[in-house]
Amino acid sequence: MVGKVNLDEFTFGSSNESSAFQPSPRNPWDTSCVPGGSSGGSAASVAAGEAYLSIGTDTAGSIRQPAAFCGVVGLKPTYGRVSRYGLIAFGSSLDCPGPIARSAADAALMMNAIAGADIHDATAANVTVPDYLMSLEKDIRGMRIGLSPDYFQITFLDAESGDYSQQPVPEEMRAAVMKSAEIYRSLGAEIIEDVPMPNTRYGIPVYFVISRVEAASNLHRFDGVKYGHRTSKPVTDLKEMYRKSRGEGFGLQPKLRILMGMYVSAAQYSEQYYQRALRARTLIRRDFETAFDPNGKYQLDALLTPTTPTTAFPVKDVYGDSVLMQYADQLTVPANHAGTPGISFPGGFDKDGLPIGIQLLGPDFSEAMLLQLTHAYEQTTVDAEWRERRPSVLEEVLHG
Amino acid sequence: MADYEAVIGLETHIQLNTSSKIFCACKADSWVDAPNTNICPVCTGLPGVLPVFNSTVAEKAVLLAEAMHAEVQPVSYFDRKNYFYPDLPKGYQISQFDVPLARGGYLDLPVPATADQQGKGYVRHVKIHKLHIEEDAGKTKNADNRRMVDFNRCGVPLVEMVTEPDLRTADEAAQYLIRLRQLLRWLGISEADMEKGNLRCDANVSIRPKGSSVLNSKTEIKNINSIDSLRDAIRKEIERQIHTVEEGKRVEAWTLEWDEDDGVLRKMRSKETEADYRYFREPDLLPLEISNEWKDEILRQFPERPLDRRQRFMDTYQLPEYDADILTQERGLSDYFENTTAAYSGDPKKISNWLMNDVLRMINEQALDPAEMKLTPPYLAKLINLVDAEMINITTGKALLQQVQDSGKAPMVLVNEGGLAQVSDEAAIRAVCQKVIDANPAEVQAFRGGKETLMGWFVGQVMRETKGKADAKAASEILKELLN
Repeated sequence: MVGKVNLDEFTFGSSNESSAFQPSPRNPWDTSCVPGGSSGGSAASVAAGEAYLSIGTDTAGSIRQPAAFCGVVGLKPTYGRVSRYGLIAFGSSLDCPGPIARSAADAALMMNAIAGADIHDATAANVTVPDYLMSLEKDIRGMRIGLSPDYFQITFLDAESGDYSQQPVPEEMRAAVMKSAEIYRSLGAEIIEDVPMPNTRYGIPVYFVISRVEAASNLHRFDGVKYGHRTSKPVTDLKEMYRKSRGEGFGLQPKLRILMGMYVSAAQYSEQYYQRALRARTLIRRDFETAFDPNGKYQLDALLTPTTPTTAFPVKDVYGDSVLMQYADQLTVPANHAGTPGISFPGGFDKDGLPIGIQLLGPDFSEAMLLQLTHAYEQTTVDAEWRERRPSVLEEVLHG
Repeated sequence: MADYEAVIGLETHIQLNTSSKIFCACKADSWVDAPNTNICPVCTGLPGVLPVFNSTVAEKAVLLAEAMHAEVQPVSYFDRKNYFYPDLPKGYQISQFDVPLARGGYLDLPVPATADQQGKGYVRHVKIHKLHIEEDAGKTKNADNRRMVDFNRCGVPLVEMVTEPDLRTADEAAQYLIRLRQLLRWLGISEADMEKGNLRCDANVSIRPKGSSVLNSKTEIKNINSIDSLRDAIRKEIERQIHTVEEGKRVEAWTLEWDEDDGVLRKMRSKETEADYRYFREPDLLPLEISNEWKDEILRQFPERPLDRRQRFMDTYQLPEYDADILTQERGLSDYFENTTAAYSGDPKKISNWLMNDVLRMINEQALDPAEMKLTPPYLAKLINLVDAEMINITTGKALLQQVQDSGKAPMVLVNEGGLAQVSDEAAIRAVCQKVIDANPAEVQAFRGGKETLMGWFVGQVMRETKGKADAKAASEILKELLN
């Protein structure tokens, strides 16, 4: 192990600015920008050449989004493909540990080491683990890769009116994804356009509810009784000990999420929020099942999308608006709801020189295929001009 | 004063006697162990750990569900019950909520004459409201102005079983617990020792005018550690509620605590609003699937229920209810009775008498397991046969019980080895009688002078001379003849 890396406190964030360890990490390509999050330290360390491999956990996009922001490969495996034992739980039904690496091959190597059943995790799937490295070079001819209009726009919910409003992803990002589609087509894959993923828009609101209910419960154990912070102030009773210990120990994000989680799971609101969110989650899963159904209309092997709605944003730009921050995960979170795997890989740069992430989403246990497709893209673009670029922090080291 | 009836429901927590805990490999039974010695990262809720379900828990719970005639669900779910308490290290208890392991169920509870005001005895049909699996919490205690926590009990498997409010008297409630305890031991799924907390009980009590069907606000009595306490606590609470209503006041929904030492109920808290446990599905565990194949496998050795066997003993062997009750208190004893009956051609009641008078005392005093006794059912049957056939007298027979148990030898072998066969040869007995009379002239004179009670003494002397082998009846006849 080379070292430990920073992250948002309890993984609650998309920019690393809510880390308990300040100053928070910056983006190696532009240190005025965030590295993404929550696994921002992991992505930044790999991008900056400090390590070959790092591990992250993806609850809504926490591997793929920082990987996209930092220009590295990040794989969120199928739920249960990698054991969660040892992972401090955030949203237990969504959490997926996975690799962050500089290439599909490195990510495949790490998957070979971490995937598989675990007697300590009942939800770790007892499904045969393929050799991810061996399948990298396989031909992608005949594969069906889909494009969905629902993944080229961000849907916002107006807080006042409850109306949806749409905003397309920036043209440069769209162009990068379309270019990757052309590359796949040139390699013999079939591109299927206009695949409907209509429930994508519910991803964030549903996540808001489910993840916070689970998070609030998961954080109960930090009560100052047996480990962690206990208040040193005098207390008169147990309740006060809990209140002070937790009040002092948790940062802003955990507190916000606990409050929200407690609220939406309360007996009188649960039906209205939590139970509804669970039903909407089923709808999101159905979008994927329909798209990947081998006997269905689309019969996709993978869905090709931008990883994020924007490239890395400047420090302090979004921080403080918990809702807006969450929309950074809109294109990644559906796979967490569905439990299906997704990978983000670098696909060029925007006009500001920030990396653009391209995402491939696949059906359950299709990690080998996602790595294979990523590898094929890497091989085809190996001579591209943008592959020559190095993060600014490395340029400083190399050329002083 | 109006006539009231009580409406009582019992909530029981049953510790299953698995060797390891429900979600980790720690030893489940910590009765003799020092605090915090049977713990691990899982049962103390360290960050990053996950529960893994011990399937033996499901097997034992299925046995109980079957015994209660409850319907085992093919798929049930674990849920988190969220609340803060120092003995609950995760801050939530893994339990089952809306889809529990089993639904429905009942117990037809025989209420004995001694517990019936009419003195007749009757059967109370008690429905089961809920039967689910969950994990136990730890224990806290106050010492030296500090609150101490022992996590040993965290993760001990529990079945929570709640009755409908179908019980009507404190005695019925006590009978329910007695029968539940018997059943748990019968099935071998819990030690069911209330003192050790293997079986715990809370009682919900309300009253209403007799004949009414309304449910009035109830109180919950906690901390009941024995069957006697349950009976006392409910009796006292019914009296208190009647007194309250008679005074024109309203019974409030309190939680009460039974103070064992002082024999009084103390108010713990008002229960104005139900606590909100914010139940939701436990994402760390898979749904609990009990396939038909697994269920069949679990129930393959399902025993006859104790109350069914009790009834059958009465029907098949014409045993009195009293005998059938005692003989079916424990499964091993009831098997022993039945195995003896199978080897014996006489009246089963005779076996019952031997068991209840003598063998049961041996079992209890020497802490014997009926299934392991050297005095096997066929040996006991043979021994009773020998007495029936007057091969040995009853005194010899009773003495033989322990000898067979000690030696493991067949009764007939011991009779032959010890020359214990009853002497019923008239000439031989007459000779001994004459000898006794010759040796005790003073007693003979007293007898003839009218002290007829001495006959017993003379018979005793004859038995002593013959080392207890003489046929006492024959000896008595001969003595009478010689003395008169």
